[in-house]
Amino acid sequence: MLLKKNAKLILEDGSVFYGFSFASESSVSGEVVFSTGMVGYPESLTDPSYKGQILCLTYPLIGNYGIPSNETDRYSMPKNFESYAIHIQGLVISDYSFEYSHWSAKKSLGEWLKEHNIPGIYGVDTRELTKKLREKGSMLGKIIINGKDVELYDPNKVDLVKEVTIKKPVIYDNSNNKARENQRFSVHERSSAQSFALVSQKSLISVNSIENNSDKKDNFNRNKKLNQNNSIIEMSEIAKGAISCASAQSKPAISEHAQKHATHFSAGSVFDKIKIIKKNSKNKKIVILVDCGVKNNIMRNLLKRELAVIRVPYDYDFFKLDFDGIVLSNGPGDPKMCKTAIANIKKAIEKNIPVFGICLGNQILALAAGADTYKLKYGHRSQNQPCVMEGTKRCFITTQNHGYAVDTKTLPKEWEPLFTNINDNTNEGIKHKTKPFFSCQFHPEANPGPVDTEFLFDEFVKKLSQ
Amino acid sequence: MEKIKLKKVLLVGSGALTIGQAGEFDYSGSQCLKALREEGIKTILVNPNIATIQTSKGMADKIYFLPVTPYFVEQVIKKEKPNGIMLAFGGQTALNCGVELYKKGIFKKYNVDVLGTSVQTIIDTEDRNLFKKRLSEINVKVPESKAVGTVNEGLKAAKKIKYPVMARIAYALGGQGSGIAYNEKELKEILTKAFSYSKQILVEKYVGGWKEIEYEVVRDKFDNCITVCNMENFDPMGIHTGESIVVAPSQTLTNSEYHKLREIAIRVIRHLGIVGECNIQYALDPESEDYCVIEVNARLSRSSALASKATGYPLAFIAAKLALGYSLTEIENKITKKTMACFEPALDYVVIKIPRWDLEKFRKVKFQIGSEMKSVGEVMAIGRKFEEALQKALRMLGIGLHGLVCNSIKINNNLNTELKNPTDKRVMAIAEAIKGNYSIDKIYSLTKIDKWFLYKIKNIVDTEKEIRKHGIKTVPSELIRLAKQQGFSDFQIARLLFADKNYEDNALAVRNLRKKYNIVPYVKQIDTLAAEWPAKTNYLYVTYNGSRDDIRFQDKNSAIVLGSGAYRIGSSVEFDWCCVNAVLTLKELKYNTIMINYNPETVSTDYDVCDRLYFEEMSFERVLDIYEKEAPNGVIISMGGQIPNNLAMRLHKQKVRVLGTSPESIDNAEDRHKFSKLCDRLQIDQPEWIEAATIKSAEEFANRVKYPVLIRPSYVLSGAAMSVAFNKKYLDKYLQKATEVSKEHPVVISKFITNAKEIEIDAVAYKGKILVYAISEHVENAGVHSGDATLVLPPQFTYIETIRRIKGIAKKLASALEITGPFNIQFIAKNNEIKVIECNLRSSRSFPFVSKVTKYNFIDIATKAMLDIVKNERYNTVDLDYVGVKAPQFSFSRLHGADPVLGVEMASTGEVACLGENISEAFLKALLSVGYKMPEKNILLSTGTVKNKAYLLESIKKLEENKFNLYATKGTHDFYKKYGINTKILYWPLEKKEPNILTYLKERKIDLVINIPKSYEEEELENDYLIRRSAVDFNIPLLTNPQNTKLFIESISKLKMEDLEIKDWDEYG
Repeated sequence: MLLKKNAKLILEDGSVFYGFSFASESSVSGEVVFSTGMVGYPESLTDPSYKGQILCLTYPLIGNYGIPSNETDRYSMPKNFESYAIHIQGLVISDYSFEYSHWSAKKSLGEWLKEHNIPGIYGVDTRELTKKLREKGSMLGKIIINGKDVELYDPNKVDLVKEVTIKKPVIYDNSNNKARENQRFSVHERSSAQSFALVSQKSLISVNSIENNSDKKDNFNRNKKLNQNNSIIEMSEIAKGAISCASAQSKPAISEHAQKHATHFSAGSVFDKIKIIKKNSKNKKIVILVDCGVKNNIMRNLLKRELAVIRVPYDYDFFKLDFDGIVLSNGPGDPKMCKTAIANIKKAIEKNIPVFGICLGNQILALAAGADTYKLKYGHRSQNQPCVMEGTKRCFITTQNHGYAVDTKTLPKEWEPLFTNINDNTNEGIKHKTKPFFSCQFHPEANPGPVDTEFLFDEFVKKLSQ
Repeated sequence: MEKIKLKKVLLVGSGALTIGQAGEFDYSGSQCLKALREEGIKTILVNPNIATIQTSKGMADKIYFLPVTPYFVEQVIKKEKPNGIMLAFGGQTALNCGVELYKKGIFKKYNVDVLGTSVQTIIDTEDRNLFKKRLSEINVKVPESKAVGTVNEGLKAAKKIKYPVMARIAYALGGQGSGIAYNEKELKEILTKAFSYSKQILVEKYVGGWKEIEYEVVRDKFDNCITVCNMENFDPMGIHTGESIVVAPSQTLTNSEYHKLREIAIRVIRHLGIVGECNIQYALDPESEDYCVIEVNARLSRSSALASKATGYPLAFIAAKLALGYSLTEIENKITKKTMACFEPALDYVVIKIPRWDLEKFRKVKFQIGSEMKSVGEVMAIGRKFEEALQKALRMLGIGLHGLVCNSIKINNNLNTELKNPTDKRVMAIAEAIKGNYSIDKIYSLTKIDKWFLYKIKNIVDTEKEIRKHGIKTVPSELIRLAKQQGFSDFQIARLLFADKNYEDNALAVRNLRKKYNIVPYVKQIDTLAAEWPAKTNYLYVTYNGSRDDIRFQDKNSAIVLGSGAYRIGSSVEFDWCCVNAVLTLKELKYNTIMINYNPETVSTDYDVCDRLYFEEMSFERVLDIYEKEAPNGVIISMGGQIPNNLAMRLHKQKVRVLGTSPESIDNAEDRHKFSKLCDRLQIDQPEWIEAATIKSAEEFANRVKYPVLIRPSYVLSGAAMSVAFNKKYLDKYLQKATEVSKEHPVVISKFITNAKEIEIDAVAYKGKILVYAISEHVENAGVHSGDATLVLPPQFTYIETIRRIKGIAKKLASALEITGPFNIQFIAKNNEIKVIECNLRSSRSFPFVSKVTKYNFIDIATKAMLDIVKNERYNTVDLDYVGVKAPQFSFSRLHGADPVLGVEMASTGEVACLGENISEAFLKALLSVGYKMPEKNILLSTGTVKNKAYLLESIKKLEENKFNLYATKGTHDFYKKYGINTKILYWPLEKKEPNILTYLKERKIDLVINIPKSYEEEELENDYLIRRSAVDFNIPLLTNPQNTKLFIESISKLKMEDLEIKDWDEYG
C-alpha cells in the first residue's frame, strides 16, 4: 500500500473535507471554486484567471495523461500551457492517477505541482464540496497538510490583476507566417512538434514574450539567445541596448526555452518597433492587448490572424502608441479593481477605437460603458456553457471561468447584450449598437474547452478594417 | 417557431433483437413516441417485436405487428397516409428499409416527409465512396480505402492499399460480414461471403492498435451542433466497438485531442447535414494526434443509448424533437428542469460498458472477438474510480465473476495468445498477466490497450495481494476502505480474508465489520452538469468514493422493482417490459417507484420511467445496501427474470420484505427435490429424474429410464449448460461440462421425452387462486428450448381435454405454493399423458406475448395482486377470433461457424409475434419478420431420418404441386422418388462433385433450404453442418425443424403475400 499523507480542506463555514496529499506538502489558503470541465488540467492550472483560488475539479479522475513538455510553439510561447506559471493556490480532486499515460507526457501532475510548490489533495468527495459551494456560494478555505495551519486569505480583497499582468509592454509580431495559417484544421503528424520548432526559428520576426507572474527578478543571458534569432527587431533592439530584464518567477520555469526569449522594452523602443512593423507591411494591423492575466491562446489567436500585438500592463497608458484596436484580456478577480483600465477604455470608446473584451474584458468594457457588474454566487467554471447570440437561434458551447458578471439591466441605451447564457440568463457578452466595441464573457480562445466561438477573433479583425 | 405541421407520423421499429441490434431501439423508439405524443401528433408504429415497451398500449396510436420490410411498410403507408416518417429510431433495419422505400419513390408517391436527417444524407454516410468523397470536401481524413463491387476488384484494391486491410459492408449493422485480412487468401474468403449480403464492400487500410474514440453528436436545423458525450474504447481499433469495453468520457485524451476530434465531429455533421442524432467514430494514433474518421451512423445507435444512459441526456427524445423542427435552445434539460438541452453534459463519474457474450451456447463457434459483433448484451457501471466501475461491471455481467479478481474462471489459452488474440475473457487475462509478473509494457505491446487502463487494473491486483496478507481479525480498516473504493465486493474481500468456503456467512461478516468501521456506500445523482445545478430527477448510483448521500430517504409508500440485468440469450427485452409495466402499475397506485437495473439498452433505465432509478448492481450486497437506505414497503423480484429471482431466499433471510409469492414457495419450486415431493403429493406427473452426485449413479439412472436423458444444473436459466445425452459416451462428456458451470449446485438428470408436444401456461394468482391465465402451444415438438420454439396462442392443435387438464394442474400448483403474482409452467403432452417439466414462480419470457395477444395486461394484474388489489373479473383467453404466433429470431449469421440448429440450449437472440385470422397468416407474418422470404423457385431438401421424411411427405407433394423446383440430397431424392415426387440430385458438399449443394448455395440458386438434422444433440455429419452453415452465410432462409417446415409449407401453399392482411392491433378482437 502506498504511504498516504493526510490532508484536509477546511472551508470558512467550518466544514472539513479529508483527503491525501499528492503534491507539494505546503498548506495554503484561497477562494475555493469548482470547475466542471472534464479535460485540460494543464491548460486550466496555468490560466491566470485562477489566481488566488483553490480549484476543485468535479471530474474525479485527474492526472491521467500526465503533464506535457515545455516545448514552445511557433510564437515561442509554451505550446502546452496558457502562461508561464501555475496560478491556482491548490488543487482538490477525487481520484489521482499516480501512473499516467500519454505520448506527450513528460511528468506526472503531482511532480509538476511539486515543482511549483502547489499543494494538491485527492480522495475528497468533490461532488459534496461542489454542492456546498453551489448552495452557499464560493467560500474561502484552506488546504492543510501535515497539520500546519495558515491564515485565511481572501483574494477578492487584493488587486489580483496587478499580480498577473506583465510589468512592461511587449510586442509580438508574426509576419511571413502565412504558410502556417491553415494549420488549424490540418492533421498534426507524428513529427509535428519538431517541424513547429524549426518553423518558429525561421519565420518569427519577433519572438518576444514576458514572464507575467512574479515579483522577483531573474536575469538571463539574453544577448546570446537573441543572436540566435534572426529577428530584425530584436537585432535593432540589441543594437540600441534597450533591452531590459524580464521578470521571472523564482520557481522553476515551465519553459526555459521560452523564458530565454523573454524580453521587454521601454516605451521608447516600442515606438520604434511599431514603426518597423508599419514599414514592413503597410496594411498590418496593430492591436493593444491589455493584459489582465492573459491566456496564451488569446495571443496565439491574434497572431494567427496576422495582427501585431502590443501586450501592455493592465494600467498602461497606451494612447501615446500608434495602434488600430484594443483587446481586453481575461483575468482574475473583481473587475472594479481595474480602475485605470476602465478609464482607458472609456477614453477608447470616446475615440471610437475598436475594442474586443474577453471574460474580465467583458466586464471592464461594460463598466467603461457605464453598466454595472456583480459577483455571482459561485461563478461559471466549465466547458459546457450554452450561450445564445441575441436575436438568433444560434447557441454556442463555451468555456468559462469567471466569478463576476455584467448586469444586463444596467447597460446604457446605446449598448445591448450580444450573448446570453440560456441556463441562468446571465450576460455573456455585450456590444455597442453602432460602434465597433464588443465583448464576450466566455473564452473564445478555448484551451481548455470547445473552439466553437473562435470566429469572434475574425469579427474583431473585420472591425479593425472598418 | 418554424416547426413542421404534422398530423400523423409513422415510426419504423427495429424488429426482433439480434446481435448488433438489441434493446436499445426499444429505448429510442419509445422516447420518439413520447416526444411525438407531447406534440399532439398521431403516431403509427410498425414493429413486430411484441416484447417491447414501444408496442404497448398507449405508446402509439396504432401499432402494426408486421415485418419491417419495404413491402409491409409501404402497405401501412398506403393505408394510414401519414404526413411524416421517422427512420432514425429503428436501427439499421429501419434505416435500410427507409433507403429502399426512398429509392423506390414510395415517399414521394404517398407524399410522406422523411423527418430529421434526409435519406440522401443517410446514403452519403452509408455508401463508403460517397462518404469518403463528402469528408474529403472538408479535408477530413478517412483511412485509405476503395469501395468494390466484385471479389477481384477487392483483391486488386487491397494490393494497392497494402495488407492488412479491413473489409466492411455498406448498410450493415454491428460490423456484420466485416473482417481483417492479412493476405489475399483471407480477403478472398471474407469478400466471397460478404458479397452475399451486400453489393458493395469497402476494402480499407487497417488501423488496428490505434485508439478508438466515439462522439455522439446532436444537430438542429438551425445549425446548432453539440457533442453530448465522447467515449473511449478500452480495446483499441480492431475490436468492434460493440465487442469492446467502452469508457465514458474519454480517459487518455488531452484537451487538444478531445477538442480537435470534437471540432471535426461538428464540422463533419454540419457538412453532411444531419438533423437529430448521430455517432462518429475515430481511430486516433496513440503516438501523435493523427486520426481518421471510421464511420458516421446517421441514426440512433447502441452507442447513443449508452451515451444517453451514461450522461443522463435523453438523446432519442431530443433527436425526435429536433426532427420536428425544434431548436436545441427551445428544449428543456429534462434532468435539471432548469437548464436547456443545448449544452454538453459534464460528468463527475466514470462509466464503463462491458459486452456480455453467450458464446458457450453455440456449437462450433469461435471464441475470439474481433471486427464483427458477437455479444448479445451489455452492462453499464458507474463509479468515481475506474477500478470501482470496472469491478461493478464485471459482476453485472452475470457470468459468475465476483469482480476482476477472486474468481474461479480459468483462462484456457496460453496468456500471450489470449492477450494478443483476445476472447471474451481478455480483461481477466490481463489481471492474470499482472499477477504473473508481466510488465505493463509487455501487456501493452501484446494488447495495445492504453497503459492507463492497465495501471488501473494493476491497482486492483495490488490491493488483492495486500488483503490476502490478512485475516478478518488483522485487516486494517483503511485497507477495507481502499478495497471498497476500488469496487471490491464483500464477497471478494471475504474470499481473501477467510480460508474456509462458507462464502455467504463470511461475506456477511465482512459487511458487519466494515459497517462497524463506518465504511458504507453513498448514493450520488447523475445530473448532467456535475452538480453545477440542482437536479430534479433521481438518476442514481452508489459509490464508496464519497462522504455523503446526494438525496434524502424519507419517501413513504415506496416499492423497489428489481430489473432484468444484462440481455442475454434467454433473458431479454421481454423482462424489461415486465419491469416497466410493474413500475407503471405501482405509479398508478401512488407508490414511489424505485428501479434497480444496470442495462443501458432498456426502457426501465429511462429517466422518466420511475421515481428513483439506481443504475446499480443487482447483487445481494447492493440490493441490501439500497434496501437499508430506502426502507421501502417491499421489493418485487418476480419481474426481471431469473437474476432477481435468484436473490429471493438470501434477501428473505435478511428480513427484506419480498412482495408476492413468498421466497419459501419460490425455493420450493426451484429446488427440484422439494418440487418433486410436492408434485408427488399433488399427483402431478413429472419426467423421471435424479440428482446425480457421481457419474456412476448417472449412468445407472440412464440405463434404467433408457436414453436419451437430459442433464442440467438446478436454478437453470434458458438451459444454461443443459444437454441431451443419447448414449453413455455423451453422458460422460456432458456431465463434465455441466459440473464445471456450477459446482455449488448438483446436476439433475431426467428422462428426455421425444416426439411429445410442449405446452406452456402463463398465469397470475392471488393467494393461491388463479386470476388470469393463457395457454400457448409450441409448433415444434418437445426438445426445442421453449425460447427457441414457435408459440401459438390460443392453441390450434391441442385437445380441449389437454387444455382442461393443464389448467387443473396449474390450479393445484398455484394453490399448493400459495402463489401471489406471476408464474409460468411448462408441460409435455404425449399419449394423453401430461408431465410438468418446469415451474417458475415469476414472470416468464412469454408474458408480453400473452398480454398483448389476449389484451389483458398480466403484469398489471400480477402487480396489483401482490399489493392485495384484486378485481373480480373473468378473462377470456381461449376463445379469440384471431391467432397470435411468436417466432424466434436467430443471429447465427453473426456467429462464425456456429451450427444453426435447434436444441435444448436456447440459441435465439430475439423474437417477434404477429397476429392473423388463422395460424397460417400469423405464422407467415412472423417468419417474414425474422428474415424468411417467400421462396420463389428453387428449394433444397435434405429431410433427415426416414421418420421425418415420411412426416413431410404430404408437404413436399404440395411443393411440387405449387411448381417449385425441388433439389435434394441423394437419400432424400431416393425416398421421395418412391412416392412419385421428382427432385434433382445435388451432391453433398464433401463429395466435391458438381452439381454440388455448396455451389448452388454460393451462387444463390436456392431460395429455401430445408435441412432436418438426424438427432437433436449428436454432432451432425459434417455434410449437413456445411449445408446449414452455408445457408446462413449466404443469407438463404433455412428450416431445420420438421413441424415448423410442415407449417411453413402449408402456409405458403395457402397464402400469397397479398393475402397477408394489413391490420393494426386494435383491429383484432
